[in-house]
Amino acid sequence: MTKSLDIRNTSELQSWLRERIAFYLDQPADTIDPDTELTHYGMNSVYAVSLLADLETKLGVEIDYMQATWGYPTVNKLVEYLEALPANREGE
Amino acid sequence: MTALLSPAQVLAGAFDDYLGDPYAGGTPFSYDEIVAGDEASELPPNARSTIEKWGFHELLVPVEQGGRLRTLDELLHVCRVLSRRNPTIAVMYGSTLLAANPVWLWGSARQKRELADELLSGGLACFGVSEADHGSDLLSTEGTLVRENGGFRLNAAKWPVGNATRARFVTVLARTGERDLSLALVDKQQLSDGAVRHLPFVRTLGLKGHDLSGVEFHDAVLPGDALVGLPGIGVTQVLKTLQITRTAIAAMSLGVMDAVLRMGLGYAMDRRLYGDRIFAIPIIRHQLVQEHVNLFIGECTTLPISRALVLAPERLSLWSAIAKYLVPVTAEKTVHNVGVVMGARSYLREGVASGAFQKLQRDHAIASVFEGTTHVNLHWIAEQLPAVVASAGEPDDAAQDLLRQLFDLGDNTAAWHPDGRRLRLANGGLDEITAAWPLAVRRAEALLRGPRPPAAGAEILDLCARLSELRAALHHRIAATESWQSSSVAAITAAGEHCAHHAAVSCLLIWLDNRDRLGGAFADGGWLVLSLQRLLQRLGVTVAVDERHEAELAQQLEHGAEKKDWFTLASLPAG
Repeated sequence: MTKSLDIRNTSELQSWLRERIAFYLDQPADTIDPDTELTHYGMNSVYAVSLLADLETKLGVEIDYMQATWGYPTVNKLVEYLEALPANREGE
Repeated sequence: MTALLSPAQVLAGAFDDYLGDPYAGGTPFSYDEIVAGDEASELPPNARSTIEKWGFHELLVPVEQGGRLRTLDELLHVCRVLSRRNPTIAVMYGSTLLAANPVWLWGSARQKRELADELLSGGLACFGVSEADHGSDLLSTEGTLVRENGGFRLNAAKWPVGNATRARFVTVLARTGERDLSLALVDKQQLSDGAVRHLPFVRTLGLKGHDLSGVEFHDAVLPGDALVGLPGIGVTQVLKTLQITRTAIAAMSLGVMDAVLRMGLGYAMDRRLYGDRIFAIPIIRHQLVQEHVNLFIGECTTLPISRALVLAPERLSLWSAIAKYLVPVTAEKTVHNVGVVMGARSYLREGVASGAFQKLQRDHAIASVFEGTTHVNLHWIAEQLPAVVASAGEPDDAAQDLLRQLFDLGDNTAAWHPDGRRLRLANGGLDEITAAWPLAVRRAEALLRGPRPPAAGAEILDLCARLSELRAALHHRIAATESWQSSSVAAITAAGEHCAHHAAVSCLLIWLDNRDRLGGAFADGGWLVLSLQRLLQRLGVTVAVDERHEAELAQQLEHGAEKKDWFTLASLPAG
C-alpha cells in the first residue's frame, strides 16, 4: 500500500476510512455511518488492527493501537485522533 | 400431503411423496434400510442415486447458475423431509452447500460455472476451514496460501471436514499474509500427485457412513485466479457463509423432531398396557403433546428467518444464530422426552421403526455442535444484545412491511440472488422481530375486541402480559449493565432468554399474519396458548398447563397419526 493520503484533508481521510472499513466488512461504504461505533458493524479486533496498520502505511505515522481502538471507536473519532497526532508526518 | 403452511412446501411435498413411507420398508429411505446402513457405517445402497434421480442435488445450485435453489425456505422444507428419514444424507449435502455458498456469494464466473457443473452432475464439495488445533478460532488458522509465479502455493491441514475425501472441490481458508486470511477454491483434480492427501474417516457417535475426514495440501500449486472474492476478507466471508447453513441446520432439527414424534406417537397408539393404549395414560399424552408444541415453536422461529435470506439478509447475523441455538437444543429435549415415552424401545436397534430412534438421536447430537456450538452462538447473540435493546423502538412503516413479508407465509418470496455484500457481520442493533413484541400484543388485543374474537384470545393476552413483564426486566438488566462482557455467564444467560422472547414474538406473529388464511384450530389459537406457556416455562416460570388445549391437541395428534399427516401447524384441523 503506497502512501498517498493527506492527513490534513478531513473529508479525504473520512472517506478513505469508510472505504477501507467497508472492504474488511464486505459491505457498501455508504452503509458505514461515520458516527456509529465500529463494533456495531461486527468489526472485530483483527480487522481493527489491519485497518490501523493500513493507516500507518498510508499516512506514514505511528499509531497507538490500544488507544485508537478503545478511545476512538467511530470513523469521525478516528479522524480526530489522526488529525491530533504529533507532527511526525513526513515533510514537516 | 395435506394443508400447506406455505407454498414453499410444495416442492418438499413432492419430495416426501417421492421418497415414500419410511415405515413401508425395502427402499433406501425406509427405516429398515436406513438402520441397516447405519449398522454397517455406510449410506444405504442407492440412497444417493435415488435422490439424484429426483434432482435433490440441483437444490444446491442457485437458479441463476442452472440449478433449482430458489429460496432458503423452499430448501429448508426439503431438508426437513430428508432429515426426517436420514440426517446423515442431509449433512452430506449440507456440507456441500456450505462449501459452495462462498462461490455463489463471491466467486468468479468461471468458479461458479465449474462448481455448478460438478454439483449438477452429482459431485460433492467440502468446506476446508477447521484445523485440528483451532476449532472455531479462525484467526489462528495456520494454513498458508503464498503468491508464487503468478499463482499460489497452498500448504494446509484441514480437519475435521465433512466430505473431505469424497469431494472434488474444496473451499479453503488460508493465510495470504501476516494478517490476511483469504478463501480459495481448490480443484483436487488439477493438483499434481502428492499435493493432496486425505486423512482417515473419523469415528463418530452418529452420522455413520458420512465422510467426516480431513484433507492436507503439500505445496499444492493453484492458478492465479484461485481466490474466492478479494484477498484479506476470508474471516468475514466464512462468518457470512455460516449464517445461511446455520439456518438450514434448524431444518434438520425440525425433521428429526417430526420423525421421533411420529415414532413416539405410533408406539403410544399401538402399545397396550394395563388394558388400554398407553396414549390413554395422562403423562404419556401430555409429554407427546408438549413435544408437538416444541415442533410448532421450532417452525414459527425458523421459517421467517429462512425467508430473511431474500427479504432481509442484513439481519441474518443475529437471527441465524438464534435459529441455530434455539431449534437444535429444543429438538434435543424433544428427542430425549420422546425417548422417555418409548421407554426400553428407544434403546433398541430394532423393533419400533426398525430401531431408527437411536440412530436419529445419535445423528441429531451433532446439530447443536457443528457450525458454532451452543455457546458460540449464544456468545454471538450476547455481543449484539446491548445494541438490539438500545434500538428496540416501535417498528416504523418499513419495518412493519418487512415483518408482514417475513411472517405471512402465504406468499412465496422472490428468488435468492447470492450477494455476499448484502450479508452483514452484525445487525447494528436492528432487529425488527423482537422489537415488534408490543405491536404484536396490541394487534392481539384488537382482535379480542373485534367482531370475531379468537377462542383462546383471553388466555393468549394473559400469557402475553407475563411475557411482556419478563421482556421488560430482561431489557432493563441488559441496558443497566455498565460494562457488557458478552462472554460472561450473565450475558450468555441473557442471550438464551432473548431467544425465548424471539420465539414468542415469532409464534404470535405467525398466528396473527396467517389466521385469516388458515382458519380453524390454527386461528382459534389453542396451539399458541400451549406454545407461549412452554416458552414461559423455558424462562423459568411455573405455568399450569392448559388441559383443555392439551386435550384438543392430543385429539389432533391422534387424528394426524392415523392420516399420516405432516406434523405441522398447517395440519391443525380446519374450522
